[in-house]
Formats: sequence, C-alpha cells, structure tokens
Amino acid sequence: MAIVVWPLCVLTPHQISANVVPFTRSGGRTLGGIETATRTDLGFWKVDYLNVLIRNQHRTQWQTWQAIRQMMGGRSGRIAVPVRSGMSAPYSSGKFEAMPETFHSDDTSFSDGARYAQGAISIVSHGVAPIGATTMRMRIINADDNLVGVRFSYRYALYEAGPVLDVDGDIWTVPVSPSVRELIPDGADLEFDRPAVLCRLAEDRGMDVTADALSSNTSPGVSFIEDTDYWYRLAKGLI
Amino acid sequence: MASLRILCDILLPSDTVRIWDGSGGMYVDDDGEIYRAAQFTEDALQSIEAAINGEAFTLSLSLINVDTSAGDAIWDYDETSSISGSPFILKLQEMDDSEQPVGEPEIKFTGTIDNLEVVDQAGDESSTSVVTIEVVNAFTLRTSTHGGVLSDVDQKARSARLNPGAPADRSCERIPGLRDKTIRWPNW
Repeated sequence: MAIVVWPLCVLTPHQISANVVPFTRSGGRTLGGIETATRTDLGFWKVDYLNVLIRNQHRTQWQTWQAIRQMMGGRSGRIAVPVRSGMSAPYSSGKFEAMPETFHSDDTSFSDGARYAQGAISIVSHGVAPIGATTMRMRIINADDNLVGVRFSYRYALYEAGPVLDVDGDIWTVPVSPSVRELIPDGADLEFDRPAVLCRLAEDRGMDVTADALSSNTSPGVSFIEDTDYWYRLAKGLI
Repeated sequence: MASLRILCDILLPSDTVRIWDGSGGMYVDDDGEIYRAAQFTEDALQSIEAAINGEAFTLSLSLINVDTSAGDAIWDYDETSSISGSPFILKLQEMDDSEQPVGEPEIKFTGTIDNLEVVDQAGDESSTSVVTIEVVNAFTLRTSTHGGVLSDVDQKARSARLNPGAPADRSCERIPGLRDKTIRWPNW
C-alpha cells in the first residue's frame, strides 16, 4: 500500500507539535495530595500541525489540502506526517545541513527531473530490534557523536531516544519511546533527516477549512494520532 | 518503574483474539504471539480485578480499540454461529524496568464465553462500536438457581445414560398424568 507523506513544502504549518503521549495508571490521589503513577506502556505519538498557511491565490495549496482530506476520509485514512527534527538532529557539522541531491553517475536525473537525495546524517541500526523492544543499538557512520534525545524514524515509525545507556566506540545504546513498532533489522538505515510518523486524523472533521475572502488566507490546524492499528495489521500479515 | 501487563486470550473456533491492556504498541510473548493493545474500559478493569482476586464468577469485559478484523470475527460469530463456550484466558505478565517481560505470564482467570454484545453508540462527533464479552467460569453455577423440572422423558434419558443396561427408570412415569390432574371433592 502506498503511503502518502504530508507535503510539508506546500502546506507548511507555522508550528509543529509532535509529542509522545505517556501512558500511566494511578490508583488515585490521597487526601494529602500524593499520587503514585505507574507506566504501563510507552505510549503513542500525537502530532499537531498548528496554523497551516493556505493562501487564496495559491491554487495548489487548496487543491492539495482538499485532495488529502478526500484521501483521509475522516479518521480512517492514514498519512505519514513529517516532524521537524532539525533542532535536535545530530548533524556532524553541529548545524543544519540540507539533504544533498545528486545526479546519477552519468549526470542524468529521473525522467521528471528529480534527483537522488542523500540524507546528511547516516546512522544504522546495530543488531535487530524486535517488535516491542524499548532499547536500540545504533552505529554512527556520519553524524555528530551524540545521540541523546534524538528523533528518528524507520519506515514511518517514529522514535525518540532517551538518555544514553551505553557507548561502545561508535555504537550507542539508547532507550526509545514508543516501543518498537516494526522489526528493525540489523544494519538498517535510520531516517534522521526527515523523520515522519504514520498517523490518522484525531477527529473526523479535523481537516475542516474556512475560506476567508477578506484576509485572503486561512490557517487551519490539524491534529494527528499515531496509527498503531497499521503496525498491528502489518505484524499480523493483514496488509 | 516495573509494571504489569494484562493479557487476554479469546480462543474463537477458528481464530484467537489476543489483546493486552495498552495504549498503542503491540506485545509479543515468548511464543511469538502478537497481542494487540486494546484498552479496557474502567468498568472492565474493575471486573478484571475482581476476577483475579477470585471475587467474581462472571467477568464482563468491554473492549475499546479492537481491530476491525477481530471485531468482524466477533460480529460474525455472534451473528452466524454460537461463540458461547469458547475458552477465555486472562494472564498477568510482569515487566522489568525497561518494559521487557520477566518470566512466564501467570494465568489468573479462565472461563468460557457466555455472551457477546456489540453496541453501537452515536455521539456528537463520531460513533463508537463497543464489544462486550461476558465470561463465566465453573463457579458461576453456584450463583444460578436451577430451573429444571422433573419429567418422565428426562428421567428415562438420564437413567439410560447412567445405567445403559438396566431397564428405564420409571419413577417419574406418573408425573405427566398427575401434572394437570384436578381432584374434585366428591359430590354425593
């Protein structure tokens, strides 16, 4: 099944809020105000795109928005939602690096003029991370030597690293949230440049948009919830 | 940080629905079986607790976020064939600090499915479908009153089964004749 990625360059949100929703349980609060909460799961992603700017004069923005809305069909559809990771991504230069685009070896591009893209950060998994794993080992090939609190995705399953557990040369062991959605094989390229998470709309009418004739632009917001059903179906072989 | 996970196995005739009480991720047990995260409602958690403690003989479990295929399967069984009598197993799995299982899951409650309810509710913004599973175990019989009556046919069938070689038990033979019998006071 083809997965559509949110066209971030056409429909650019002013703010992106991508957070793991923790999942804890507690027995309630005592009279003294103390509450003990226990984590029973590593949670799921919730992504909010706030103030996606759509100008009335840009027909493509309206068309793209409506096409995505048609494809989503309320909460049932799924889309890969990019999250901004540039602030925390481990660029080897220490500042933002664009993804270099290159031609084929004989200086030709794809038939539509697109070129090959190569991520600026190259980090691969070290060892297999099975479904439900909560720690990962990663090997740095070309990146900053600090993988604390970074975000990366593998096949549109987004993870956030925690404080480092172990450093052995260029191999870093970090805890990740949420738990691994799909088996990450040994030596798999992890997406650090443009991580995205597979989501569905949080509400059926989450992509309602109002045309504004006076200000000639509108900035709707849209909320997404991680599509955990997809990973289950994938693991069960239903997709 | 160590925690517990509640695992449920519902053994339908041709499929097994495996769910655990979680928010999103799957849980894979040692045998490689995949448990889907399906949150129980608050009531369900209470009744699970009662079942685990052995206080309850029946367990009514409302499931949220079962996948469409499991929902379809349950609906299908509910509509076409009888699902009652399918085994249901409730287990507790201990997890370590990094949310990985420790040892084998402990079986806390077993029973058979007595009834299934599929409820559709329409709200302001969306509509929800909730599957409620009613599970009973052997001790449920203690709480139910026996509604049987003696009849000649039942008694003969019973005796034929208990003691096949012997002649049929005739102790209830006169019940049909006496059931609606009216005895009148003689009118001289």
